[in-house]
Amino acid sequence: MIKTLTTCFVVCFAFMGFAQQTNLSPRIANYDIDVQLDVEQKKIIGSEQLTWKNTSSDTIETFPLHLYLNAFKNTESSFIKGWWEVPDNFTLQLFADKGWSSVDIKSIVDAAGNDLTKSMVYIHPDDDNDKDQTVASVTLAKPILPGEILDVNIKWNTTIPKAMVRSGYNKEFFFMGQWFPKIGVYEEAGTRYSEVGNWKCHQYHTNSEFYADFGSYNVDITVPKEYSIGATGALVKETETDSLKTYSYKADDVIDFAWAASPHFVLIEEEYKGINLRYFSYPDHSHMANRYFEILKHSLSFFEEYLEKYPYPNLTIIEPPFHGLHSRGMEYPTLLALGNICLLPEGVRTAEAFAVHEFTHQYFMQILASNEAEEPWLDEGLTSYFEARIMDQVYGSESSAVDFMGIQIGKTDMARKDFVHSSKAQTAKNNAPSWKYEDDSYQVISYFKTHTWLKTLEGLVGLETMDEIIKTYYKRWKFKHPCGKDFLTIIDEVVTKKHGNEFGSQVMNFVDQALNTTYTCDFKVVDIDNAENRESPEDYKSKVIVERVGEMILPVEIQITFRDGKTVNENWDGQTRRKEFSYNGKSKVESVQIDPERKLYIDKDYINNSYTSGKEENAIFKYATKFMIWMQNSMQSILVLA
Amino acid sequence: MFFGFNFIFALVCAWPLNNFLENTVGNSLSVKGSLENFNYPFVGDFLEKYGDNLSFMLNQSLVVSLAFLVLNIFLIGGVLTVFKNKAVTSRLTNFFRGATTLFWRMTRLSVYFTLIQGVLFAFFFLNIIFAAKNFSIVDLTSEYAVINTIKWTLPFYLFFATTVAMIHDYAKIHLAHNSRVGLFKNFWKSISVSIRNFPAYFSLYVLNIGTLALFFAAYWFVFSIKTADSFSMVLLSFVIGQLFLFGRVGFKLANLGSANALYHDTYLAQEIEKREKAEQEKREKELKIQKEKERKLVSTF
Repeated sequence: MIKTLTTCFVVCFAFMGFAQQTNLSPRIANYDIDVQLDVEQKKIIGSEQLTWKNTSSDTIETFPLHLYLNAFKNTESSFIKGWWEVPDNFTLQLFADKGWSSVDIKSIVDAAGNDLTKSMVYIHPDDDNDKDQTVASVTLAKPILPGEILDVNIKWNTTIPKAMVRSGYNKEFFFMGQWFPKIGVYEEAGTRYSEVGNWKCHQYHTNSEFYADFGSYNVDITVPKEYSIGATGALVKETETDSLKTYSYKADDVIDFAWAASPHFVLIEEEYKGINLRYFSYPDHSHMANRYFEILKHSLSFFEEYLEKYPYPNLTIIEPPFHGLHSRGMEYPTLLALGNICLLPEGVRTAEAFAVHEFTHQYFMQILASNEAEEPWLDEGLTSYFEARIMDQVYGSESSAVDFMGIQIGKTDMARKDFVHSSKAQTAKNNAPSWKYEDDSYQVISYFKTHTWLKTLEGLVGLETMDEIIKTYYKRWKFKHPCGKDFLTIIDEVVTKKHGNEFGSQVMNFVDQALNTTYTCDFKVVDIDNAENRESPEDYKSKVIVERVGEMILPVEIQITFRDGKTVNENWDGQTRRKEFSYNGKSKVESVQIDPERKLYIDKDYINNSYTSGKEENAIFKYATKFMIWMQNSMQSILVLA
Repeated sequence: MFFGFNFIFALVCAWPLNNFLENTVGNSLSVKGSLENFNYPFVGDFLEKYGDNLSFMLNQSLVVSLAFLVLNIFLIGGVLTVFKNKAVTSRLTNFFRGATTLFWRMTRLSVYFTLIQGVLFAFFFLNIIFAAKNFSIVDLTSEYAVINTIKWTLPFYLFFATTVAMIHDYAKIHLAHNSRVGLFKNFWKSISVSIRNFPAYFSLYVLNIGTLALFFAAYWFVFSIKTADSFSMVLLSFVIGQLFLFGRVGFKLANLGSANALYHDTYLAQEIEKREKAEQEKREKELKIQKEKERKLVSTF
């Protein structure tokens, strides 16, 4: 009996232990934060208990902290120096008027009571800018051995910047992203690209966003009681005193925590498949809630079916007012900062695209926590690819971006155009770190180029294979830190598994060119020549010449149509610059089309992909007559001045 | 004639485009997809490759439009002269004589009214920019501030812009009827006449604009029924477009004609009545003086 009871207890404890181990992530960096927002002084007074697990096999003697908001401490920070978004005079005037922002570390004390504050020094791992203070290194009093826990208490004050990128305040709207002292990620040898154990804690650059370990966040935010708070995670408690209110939020298995505050927020909530959707906006934007909820439900369903159910119980949308648009278009764990003009016509689907994009980041950046600073393409590119897929699925591929007053634009086509026709398309390689993009090319390359080559890859290997690539990538790397190399390994593995040696090295060569070069892709039909066969007058000797104008080498299909309606499909590996196809027969070649199924989205010019011996007069007539009628009407309209 | 010129001038702009399209993309199958819908990839690729040539053609069209404007100023002088001298038998001679005589003053009048319209628009636009605080995300609280400003100022702007356009029409008519009077005198006179007869003039103008708007709506509706996706449908939509433009030109002339008639019935009738009254008074006065003289003569004898 006693033996049986003992067995029962052992089984029960084993289950309890198992239950405790069902965390989604390893929860390496955990924070208990207590912060007070001083809305008059535009400051936050904070205190955090940081608990970090050394899961590596190395002994840790120092640890780095992100002090992001020091980017706005002076004009010397790498953030301000690399800023392309706002003209310098505007920024400087703003700072001159409103004062600089800064993070002032008051104390860093470890669990044993050792004051580590004085050991803190600023470091600049990404560049030689010794004036940049966005990363600090703290030396420990006692090294942390493998398996041990670093437990420190940090007290700090922050002066909040005025209307800056992502974080900042304007009037009574506060958006706090990248706002608390945050530990870097320790990569032991063999992790991602690390050959020796080292900390990854990049400076704050204009384009860089995240790289952090998963953890649990318990955050108490105290604000004047008329203020509402929208934040990462779930609201677990509200405590009110005479004039203040404390909101307690909890978020598990996330890599960051952000929040927004305003006395003017209107909260609209909806439940979808057990997920609490919360929409915070100013009253003039509250009517946008339905548009966001609708598309987010589609997105939630899409990913539930495609990868896995969204694993968090809540999703918060912050819709900044017009004067808070500096913080729009950002993704944080379980929190989306959107932001649109409130009277957008329904056919202009910017709001929906924004929502889908930022939501997709919950998977590609948050759950698949790649290093966005080093490899922005891996999350922004994949996110853009899925943004277009979802938008195309919901609204139709030809009108997913715009369907307004007779103008229809598809999201995929828009992203393609934004890359292939951009003057910045060749300014940087696709795998450049986020701070290496010059001339405002970050978005063009990280977002649109990646999206375009992923779409081309989909065309080459087929949708089914593409889906298996993404699903394998997700399954293998969720709640971990994947890198580009891991994604490429999976592409190679899945393509080989599904297609054997059908493509040889063509697919990986293409991916390599897309990622590691600035090559362009352009195929062209040069000529069709139908000569009469002298030996047999009824026959023709036809010749078709195609050319690879761009540097990118890709396998391509060519469809040749003869006058009698017969078609021939040819495959060309694209290795040489030119290729000639010859035919003998009773019928002339009528038309030639390279890539007839439009698989090569990356081709910069579709117009020269085909050639027909007869002119396409109907469409031209349509354009010309439309233009003529437009001209007639315009001329008639200006007669109001006659 | 008005429609004919409109057609020819637009053709001058569209013909090179047609040839240009044929020579550049005419042999590409990608243009085929443009027949049914708006083809964004095609339009994007075309603009990227040939955008410079296209903007050259659009600039050319702008010059053609200005020439069309000047030609119409000339023609309107002729039309108003014909309206004025309905009794004259040789209408063509009358038309060209009037057009030539009035051209320079009509042109100056158009310039002045264009400037006034420009100032009005600038006021309206600056008001929006001011309300939008230069669209600064730092200063502008809500985009509703802009929307509310537009909501309040647009009706006023439309009212004043319409009134100015209406006065412009009456100034032209007045000029045609008083071709020997100085331009500025005419200008002020037309303003005073328009203000004096404002309810009638403005109602007629609004009626004409409203009819044109209905005509526009009908045209839009017809076009929204079916996309032109074959040669015959493209041709049909072109013909409908021409019919609509013919109607538009007709409305323009009908507007001028009706304004001229109203001007005749109001101002000219009043002027004639006034003149007749003055003449009658003069005659009565002369008669009175005559009688007085006769009475004096009788009393002397």
